[in-house]
Amino acid sequence: MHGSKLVVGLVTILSLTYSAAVAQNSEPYVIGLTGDLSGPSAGTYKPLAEGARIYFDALNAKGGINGHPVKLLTRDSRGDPNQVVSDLNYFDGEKVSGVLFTSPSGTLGAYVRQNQTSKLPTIYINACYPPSTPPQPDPNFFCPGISTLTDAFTFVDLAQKMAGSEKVKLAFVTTDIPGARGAAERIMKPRAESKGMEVVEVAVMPLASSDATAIARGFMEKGVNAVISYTISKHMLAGAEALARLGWKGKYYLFTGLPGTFEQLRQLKTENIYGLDHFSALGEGKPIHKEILAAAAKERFDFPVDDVRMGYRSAMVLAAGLQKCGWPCDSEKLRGVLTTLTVDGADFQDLNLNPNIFSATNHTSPKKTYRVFQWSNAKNDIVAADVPLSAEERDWK
Amino acid sequence: MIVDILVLASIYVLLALGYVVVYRTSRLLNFAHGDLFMVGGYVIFSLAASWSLTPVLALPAAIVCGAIAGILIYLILIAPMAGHSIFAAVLVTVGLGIIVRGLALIGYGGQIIYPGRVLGIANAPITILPGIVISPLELDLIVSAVAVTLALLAFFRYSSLGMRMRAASEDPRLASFRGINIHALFALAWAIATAIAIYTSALYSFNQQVNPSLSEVALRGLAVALVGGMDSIKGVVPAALLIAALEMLTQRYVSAHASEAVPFVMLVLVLLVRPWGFLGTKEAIDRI
Repeated sequence: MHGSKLVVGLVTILSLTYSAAVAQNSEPYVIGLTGDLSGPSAGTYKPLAEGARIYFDALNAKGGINGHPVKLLTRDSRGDPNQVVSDLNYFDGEKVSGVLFTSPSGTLGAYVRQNQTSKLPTIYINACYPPSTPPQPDPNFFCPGISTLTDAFTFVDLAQKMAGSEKVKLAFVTTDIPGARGAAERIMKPRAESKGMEVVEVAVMPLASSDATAIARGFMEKGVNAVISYTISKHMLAGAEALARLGWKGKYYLFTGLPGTFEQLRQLKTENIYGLDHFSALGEGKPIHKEILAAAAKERFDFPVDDVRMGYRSAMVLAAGLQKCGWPCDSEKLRGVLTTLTVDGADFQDLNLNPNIFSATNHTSPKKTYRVFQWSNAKNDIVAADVPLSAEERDWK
Repeated sequence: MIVDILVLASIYVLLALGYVVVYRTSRLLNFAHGDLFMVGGYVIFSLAASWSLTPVLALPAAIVCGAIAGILIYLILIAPMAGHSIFAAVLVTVGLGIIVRGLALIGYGGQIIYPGRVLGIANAPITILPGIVISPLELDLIVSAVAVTLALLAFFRYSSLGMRMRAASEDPRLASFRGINIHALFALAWAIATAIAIYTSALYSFNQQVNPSLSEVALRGLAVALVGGMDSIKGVVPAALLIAALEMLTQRYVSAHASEAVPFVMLVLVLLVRPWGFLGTKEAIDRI
């Protein structure tokens, strides 16, 4: 019995080693990766790029895709629109099959404009915006996940659900950048008012600021009992921290799906902060979580480990596209594959909570199931709150 | 509102004093001060977490680390610039700031960290009047600003070292001829300034958070120092109170965005009307 197990083990090891060796010796799939690896936004976007990198490193070690490794050509866009254009030109010259792009909305416009010429199928690793959204997505731009518009609606639904019969006096903490401010002022505020909530204030923080103490004091003076913050992590957390420090007892809602917030819930240790999330937590112990934790440890992920999730998920989608594309896979062929790609394996859904389904009219996911995380003093850890939440992607007008 | 003004003014006082101490001693504008303030929060957090330091030990550790860092920076980077133009030395501080920022990004990945929460520092709010709360660490910031200002005033006025530093700043060559070791005095100024920066950073980050954009907070401290008078310790206090009050009022009644500009608008106004600042000396500004 022991002998047969040994043989099976040896054969498995040999075949894995062989396939890995074959992959390493084969011509690679070449993928461009550009994003804010340095500069002011690197705290958010470098972990996203690193999440994708460790996925492909682990995949290559297991033999790659269709017997071919994936080679990432990595460039640092530093949040600079001009650099993004230069990166795309470089990728174009290198004849990459596709691009992974992770950068804030400020560089998105330059990228999309340049890509009208380059026409490289791109997986955007971030919360989703146009031009990936329905009803008329850019043919080359894909974003696994759900759009910020749908998230914004869901935040208000969550605040209402959590309030029960209590009258909600709502405030927002946002940032003076168009996407976040627009979401608060033009999407969430009217929706909250239409649901009978009293919107007391939309507090807009300047981008450079990180102290929300005065805002927090103002909220407390005005009797605010719920706050939604869906913006850059620095400001979501600044509001949460300031209110917690001043002993506020209301409910604070923020987004933990992007890097830079999940681990901070663990640091803040405050039970009335709720993290709306696109993913399961890696502590949930399913095979995909164990796989990610192992890859993060082996491939040296230098950030809080839950920050790996979005980058890893997006790389899984690209890998599924390359798998389906076969060999060789040029950019035109990959674009065609991505346009109708469905990724619905158990591992993927255990992480992403939904399948990823791209279609000609929607390059995001049509449906999102959310998790809500909060700190538990009793368990001395982050737990998933029992709040079932899901939403369908909306058309952007 | 009053609590917010006092806390913000205290942070500005502590930050501005660091600029002033170096300037009034060596006539050098230290552009790395803000980055040292930022990275100090990360370093003290790492030290406190690794050695399980309580705040009672972490804060003195911050002062010691800051003083050592200040002396090393002076000896390695600034002292060799003796004989060169002040402009060259200022550029060295700019370069140092960029390096420190880069190291913080490499070492900590630009993460936001809550040192006070992670280290379990008790900071439950205290109600001082109905509806007015303040955290103990905010109270510490206010007390520290008062104590450090008074200590520096006394040091420069009454101690022999302080008097020698004043002499060295007036005329370094003459002070040197009279047997005063000006390099030791300049190194001491850097030690004091950096110690204040790291101590302030420890208090600030234990109370709130540490993140890479804290260097921008310190830049506002530079505006406060210039408004108060680059060589005036006393001038820092009214400048900090005025700028903090205007900032808070602008934030409350105009917009948070406009409030960010307040220190720099004040700076421009003061430079136009009284370039040596509220309580600075007229001669000093000629040498900037």
